[in-house]
Amino acid sequence: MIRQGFFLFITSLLLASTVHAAPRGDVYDVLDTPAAQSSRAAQSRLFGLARAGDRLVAVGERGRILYSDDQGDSWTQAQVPVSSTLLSVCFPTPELGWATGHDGVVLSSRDGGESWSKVLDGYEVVQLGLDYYSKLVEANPGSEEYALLQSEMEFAVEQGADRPFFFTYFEDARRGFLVGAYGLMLATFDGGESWQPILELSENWGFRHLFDYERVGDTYYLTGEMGLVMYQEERKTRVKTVIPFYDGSFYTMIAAENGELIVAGMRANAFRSVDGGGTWQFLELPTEASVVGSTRLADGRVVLVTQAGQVLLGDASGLNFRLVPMENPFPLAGVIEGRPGELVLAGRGGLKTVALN
Amino acid sequence: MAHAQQADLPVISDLTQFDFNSGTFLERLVFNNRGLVMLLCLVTTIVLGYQATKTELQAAFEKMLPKKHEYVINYFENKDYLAGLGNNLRLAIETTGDTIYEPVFLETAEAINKEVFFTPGVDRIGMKSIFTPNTRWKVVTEDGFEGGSVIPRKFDRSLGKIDELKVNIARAGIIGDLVADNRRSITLVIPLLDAIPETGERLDYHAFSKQLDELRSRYEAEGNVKIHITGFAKIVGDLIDGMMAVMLFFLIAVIIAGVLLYWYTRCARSTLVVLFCTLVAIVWQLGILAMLGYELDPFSILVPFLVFAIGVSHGAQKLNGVIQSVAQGTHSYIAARYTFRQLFLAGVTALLSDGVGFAVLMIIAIPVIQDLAVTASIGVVVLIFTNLILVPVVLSYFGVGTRAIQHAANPVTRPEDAHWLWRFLLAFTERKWAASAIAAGVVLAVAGFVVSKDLQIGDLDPGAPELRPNSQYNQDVAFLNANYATSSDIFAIIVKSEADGCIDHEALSLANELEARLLELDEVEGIRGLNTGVRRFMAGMNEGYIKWEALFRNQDTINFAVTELMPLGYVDVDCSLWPLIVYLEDHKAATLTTVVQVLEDFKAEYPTDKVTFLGAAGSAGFEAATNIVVKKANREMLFYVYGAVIALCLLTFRSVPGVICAVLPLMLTSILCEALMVWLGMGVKVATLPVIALGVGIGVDYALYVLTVILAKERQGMPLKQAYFETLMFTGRVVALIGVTLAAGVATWVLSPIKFQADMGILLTFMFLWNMVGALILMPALAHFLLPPKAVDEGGESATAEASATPA
Repeated sequence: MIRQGFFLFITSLLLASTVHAAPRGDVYDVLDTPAAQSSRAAQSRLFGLARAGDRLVAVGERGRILYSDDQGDSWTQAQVPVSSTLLSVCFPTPELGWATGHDGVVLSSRDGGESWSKVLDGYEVVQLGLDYYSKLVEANPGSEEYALLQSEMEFAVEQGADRPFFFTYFEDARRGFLVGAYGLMLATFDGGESWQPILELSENWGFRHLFDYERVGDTYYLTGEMGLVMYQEERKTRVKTVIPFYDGSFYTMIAAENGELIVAGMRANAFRSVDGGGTWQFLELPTEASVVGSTRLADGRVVLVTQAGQVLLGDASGLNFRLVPMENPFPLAGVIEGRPGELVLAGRGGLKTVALN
Repeated sequence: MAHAQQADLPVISDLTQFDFNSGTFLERLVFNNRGLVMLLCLVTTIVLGYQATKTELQAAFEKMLPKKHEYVINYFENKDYLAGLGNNLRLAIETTGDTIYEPVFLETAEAINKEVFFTPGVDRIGMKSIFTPNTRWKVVTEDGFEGGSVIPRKFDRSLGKIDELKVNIARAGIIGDLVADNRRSITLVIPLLDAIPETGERLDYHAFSKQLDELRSRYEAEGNVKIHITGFAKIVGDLIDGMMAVMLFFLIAVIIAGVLLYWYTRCARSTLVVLFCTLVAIVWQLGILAMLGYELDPFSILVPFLVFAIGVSHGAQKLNGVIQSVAQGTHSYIAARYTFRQLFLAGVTALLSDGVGFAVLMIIAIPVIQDLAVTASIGVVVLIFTNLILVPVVLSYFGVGTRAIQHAANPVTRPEDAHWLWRFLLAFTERKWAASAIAAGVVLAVAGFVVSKDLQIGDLDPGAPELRPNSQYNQDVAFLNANYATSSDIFAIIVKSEADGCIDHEALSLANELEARLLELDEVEGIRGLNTGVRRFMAGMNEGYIKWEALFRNQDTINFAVTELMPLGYVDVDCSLWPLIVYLEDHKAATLTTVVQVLEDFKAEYPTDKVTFLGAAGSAGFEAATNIVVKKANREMLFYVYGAVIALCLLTFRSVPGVICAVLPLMLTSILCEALMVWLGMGVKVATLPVIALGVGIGVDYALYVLTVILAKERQGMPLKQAYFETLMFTGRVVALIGVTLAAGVATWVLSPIKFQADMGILLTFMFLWNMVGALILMPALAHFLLPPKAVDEGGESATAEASATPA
């Protein structure tokens, strides 16, 4: 979505009282409403899955977080202080977990996902960003980059909490990264005590949405809107943008056993790189749908899932994908291995398990 | 019943001996000018008969709604926008082959599509199917959106084009909507116009429905397709068809009444006189209704049956009177006058008591029931003229047949000589039998009460509740429910705000919360509304990515989504009104109660000026409102109808124990009627409300006929058994005749294709028959304990006068 053009379009519409910001609700706001316990929680729209030790955790609409101690056979709904739609979850340790999603919400749990507290919401995130870059502009008056980031954050504050975090990645209890809409990137190096915007590290001056994050060895990869693939080598400060080889969105990225990279996204467009992202080859997939989730099995095989509800199983080098037969498919968003050789799937119809053979 | 004294009625066989100035003013007025009376009746019949031909049938959907309930008021206030929501037909074309992707099927289906498209009354712009150009597929591509019509250009049903169609259908996302899940049928969604644009006439649903039926049979005859049609216009059409069928049952009712009457009198001539005069009453009634501008709806069309049955029973009494007099040797003219003299007042009282039963229905603020009350009241008033005046006048001309006279001669005077049935009934005046009868009554009452605890409110069967579960229409509904992701039980919450208020994030967010709460209910199958549309659109605008499918806080995106959804009918053009449509699994009362509860709790929890969530349009919304009103009215009506009946009995009997004797059997019937409803799986609904009132109102007639005479004879000092014997001989047979005639009149409804008419038929038949049993068995049994013969009270003057009366 290109916002500038979009605004011009909107202003031409006949909605007189257009206010650009959607303010916080007076009597009701999902950010102030604890997630209701739902008898159908496991059939909700669920988007993200993570492993917390032996436990599986799923997140989704209306602040619903579920955990399973039997590899996905049964699920229990957690206590969550917001009703925002959650998109991603990550547990760097079996007890410590992070969940993020719409309304810029950031939640944490210290009991393996049974109860959660709100760490940040979108209003705080953009204010934090504005404060941070305003200080940098003051300290570096000549910097165009900081000035641009400051104005972007001013705009974001005006918009309110409209930016979702699409992906959360914590590599240990202290270091974590959140990426989201309009190139939003937030990092913590002290386990969430303090947060630091890191937009300036990227070459993402078009503020494209960032959807997924993957690490191979010492290199971090990011994928996003309009064919965006970026990577950063550890201890180097700057992220490098891979020259665009496709102009649709890449929703997911996965590294195969020997570091072969697969990016996949809109309308089954998938590419594979065997040289750490230097060159990319088109990867033929037995689907036409958008690929939105991926995981690597314990035995090394790679799984992709699509918005048409398909599960694609490839070999350990990320090739030869075939469709896994599915009953009653629904659009999928997330996938993780439960028991060895068994997948847990999350999507519009909730959670389900499917055995691979 | 018999109010005049025998002394006034000397047996006179020679007309010249008769004092023409005897009798009341009314009697002299009528019989001394009987030619004029006949002429007046003839003229009236011609005038009203002509009016009656203008009677129109109407299915009266809106008149079945409780007009004063908040939900219905909300609907009518916003009807302009909401009406279009419901007035769609869905016509499914099912292949008899394996799949819709066969040239033969597609050819037939396209022909049907074209024919429907050009049928007057169809909103051609709004009509949707895989053949209409407004059904489009759209995919998100790297460059934006790409799309086109689902039906390929130059569609010639070649294999290539069919493949293209298959792909387009898959990517248009219309499976479950326009194409069945199993790909064996397609659906045409046909919005209807209120008026036909070419002529400006209102759309005649009945004619339209007939046209569809004709189209169905024509194409089904070809053998390639089966057609299933659902929608409001089709229900209306089928209801009117049903009403026409019911009119045929009237003939059956007339024949049954005739047979009964003949059996009773053994006189064809006088039987015909009574039938004819009662039919005159029906003509008058219909004529008056047409003159007053009433249309016949599925409820009021039943009134002629009741009026006819009541009329025949009163006519039978007149006939009885005349026959008895003639049998004693009186001239038939004089016999008719005597009968009039004896029975006019009693007849008026009985008819007025029926009228009370009808009038009580006026308190229920549901137009069809109020219309029923009005039509029935008119019918009863008409009967006073036709059956209390015209019948004796006509009999004064025609007299009665000799067989009737022979049949009536030599009445039984001793209980021992009576028919075994009367002897059986007499037993209930003895202590042992009376106690057993009362004990049985108590047991039945307790058992009935326990069972009736399970009585549900509302309709319990799937499909259109007006029609039978196995009707063509409801089978079509079942077909669509099974093969498409749609439900016919719709509860539409009306979401209202200021103009332009529909884009408010908090308002939409509240709608999401309400949606989530409703989705918690097992009975909710799905929800669609502006909020769900906005969420989907938000993902659609972001390359269709599933993680964008949420109401995120970007006002501009919301605005854009709403402007795109507006022409699709998600919201009105003022951006102030939209329906949150809840698709329910069924329309059982428990389901509706739960949904209403969730809505009301939600409203109480989040009071805001920005947006109001009003209940509720849609079939299930109306039914929820109707259930609430019906539940309340059911109690109220019992209270009023019993209040009225008790007052009437007090006035007539002037004896509290007498009232108890009369009312307790009625109450037992009411309880058993509710138990019967539980047993038959029938809920309390608009159609069963009048049944209780009619059952009790008409049921008390028996008590009036029987108990008045018993009381009078007891006050004379006669022991109960003898009093009851004489009562049975005088009026008992009439009571039995009335019970059976009334029951026969309503029993034919059971055959009606309209379900609620059948339900009413079953219940009324039960009530009329059981009330008769109650009057003949329980009442004497109660009288044994409550009305010992010595209890002659002071207020019994007039009753004493009656005591010497011989009703025949």
